[in-house]
Amino acid sequence: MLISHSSGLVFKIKKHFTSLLLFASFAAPVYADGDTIAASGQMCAQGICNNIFITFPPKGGSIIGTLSGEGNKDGCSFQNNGTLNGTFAGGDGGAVNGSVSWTMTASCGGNSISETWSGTWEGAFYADGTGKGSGVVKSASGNWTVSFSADEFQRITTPITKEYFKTTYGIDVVDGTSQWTDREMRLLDDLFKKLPKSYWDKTKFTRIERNNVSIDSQTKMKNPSVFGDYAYWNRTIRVYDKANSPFDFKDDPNGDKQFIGTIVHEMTHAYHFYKDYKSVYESDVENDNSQIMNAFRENSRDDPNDFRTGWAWKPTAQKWVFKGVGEENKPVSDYAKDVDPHEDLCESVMFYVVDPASLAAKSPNRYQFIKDSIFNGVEYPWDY
Amino acid sequence: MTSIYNKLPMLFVLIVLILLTSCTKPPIGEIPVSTTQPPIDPQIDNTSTTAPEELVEEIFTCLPGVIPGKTTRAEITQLMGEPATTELAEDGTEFLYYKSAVEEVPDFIQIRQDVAEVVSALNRDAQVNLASITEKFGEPEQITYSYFSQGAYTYLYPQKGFALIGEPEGGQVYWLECFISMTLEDYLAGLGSSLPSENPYIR
Repeated sequence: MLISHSSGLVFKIKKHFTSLLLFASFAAPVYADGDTIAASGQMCAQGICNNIFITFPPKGGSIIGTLSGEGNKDGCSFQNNGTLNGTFAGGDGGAVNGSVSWTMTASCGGNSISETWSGTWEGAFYADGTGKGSGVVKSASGNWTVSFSADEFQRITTPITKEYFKTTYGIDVVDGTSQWTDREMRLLDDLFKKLPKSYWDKTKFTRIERNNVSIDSQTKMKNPSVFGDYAYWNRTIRVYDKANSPFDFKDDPNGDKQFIGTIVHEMTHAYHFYKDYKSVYESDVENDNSQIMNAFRENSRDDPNDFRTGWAWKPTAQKWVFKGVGEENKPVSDYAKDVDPHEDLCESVMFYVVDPASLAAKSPNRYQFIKDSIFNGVEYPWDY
Repeated sequence: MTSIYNKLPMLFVLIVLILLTSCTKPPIGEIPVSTTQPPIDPQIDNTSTTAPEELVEEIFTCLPGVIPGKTTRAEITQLMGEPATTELAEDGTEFLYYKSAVEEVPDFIQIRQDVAEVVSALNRDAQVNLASITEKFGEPEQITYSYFSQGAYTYLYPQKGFALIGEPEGGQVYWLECFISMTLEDYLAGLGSSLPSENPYIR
């Protein structure tokens, strides 16, 4: 807590509470929200400390946060509430400076007083997950310390490049008619890190390409409705601009979930084309008869022993039809239901990773199948 | 004096030889399925005695031995056994479903007036691909989208008595449909009436 001697009331409080320590121990929150991370700690002066909670971008930018503290002693109580803000230069050891302001309300006996104080703080954040520095409010000086997730700090400050993906994952991340942005590559990296080995090892795609719009291979016309696709013959995922448009998921204002979901969907196409450790299915029909597709179709039937209660090709309409009616067995999206079993599987895995609550509610059978048969028990938070 | 009866054996041999050398077309069922044959002119020769559906037979069969417009229901069950499932439409059309390598995509035969009218099945011959089909039959009369799988299209050869679902970038043929030859308009109004006019795949 930064505190001033210049007020008589403050001086009295200082005298009474010089050894007061508020919330002696604080655990650093460990979460990331895009490119910003959270930190917590204390601002102390003359043995009196306030709690501070801030968020900041490890690559540099604005810091915002709150300050609070309260205490009682000898019939007097006080409460501090305020804000602090500033700028972080970014990176390991980057400089921090900014301003702090709070309102102190003190009560002694029947008297109380409120006063607002302002000052400055400065110091640095470090890649080891710590930050420290000093501050001055009016003429009083003090110190501050915070802690945060070193892993998150390093994750965000480490440059994500196409070479990084090649080196780390063996995947060619390629610009096509559109370019990968830093945000998209960060989302891609975050996704890859979440995926279990049981799934990742069977995806077998080698290239992920960013294009602005799908081109119909027959008509050569643009199809702006397409989010992404997977070509098994060259093991390439193509992601289109449309993938950034919110569509399938709630609370997705920036389209981050949609972008991730699209990639999971296409990766699952790569997954179901996996044949063995050295090869993939070279034919869609051969793939239809693969262990994973047979197991998925069987699992999605109302009666596992009767294919007529699940997916079936209707030759007179030249269309796949889903005939299941079980409440525990609904395809998770209209798209999953309207097209074919491959898309049903890919949509289901997309929701399993990005919006598992929706999948679990609409199709517990599919949720359990993916958990047990594809993700080796790994589950994800209800909200990505 | 030599009697004409003494010359009969030689005459018989001569007639047999003439018949053998003039018979250049073996029975359809014995024509080997091959894509290595020289290309056939995609324009059907009106003077030929070979029906369009028999031309199809020369490169692939939807189901071996089942020829739309020719094979009877009795011949089908003799060849393939009893179907796994049957359906009967109000107009008397019968649908026969046989188990295939992929359970959900059964071999299918539509019977009208006791004769196979439509036959469809998964392509079981890896040698039958879009390139070999085009080489044999030329460009399709129309290409439309398909519900079969992402990236697949339906290639229509109705005047030649068949349609197929294939994937142009990999060149594979997934599914075959054989029928009695008809005009494109008739096909699109009937068998192909449910084909998607837009790409149903968005990812």
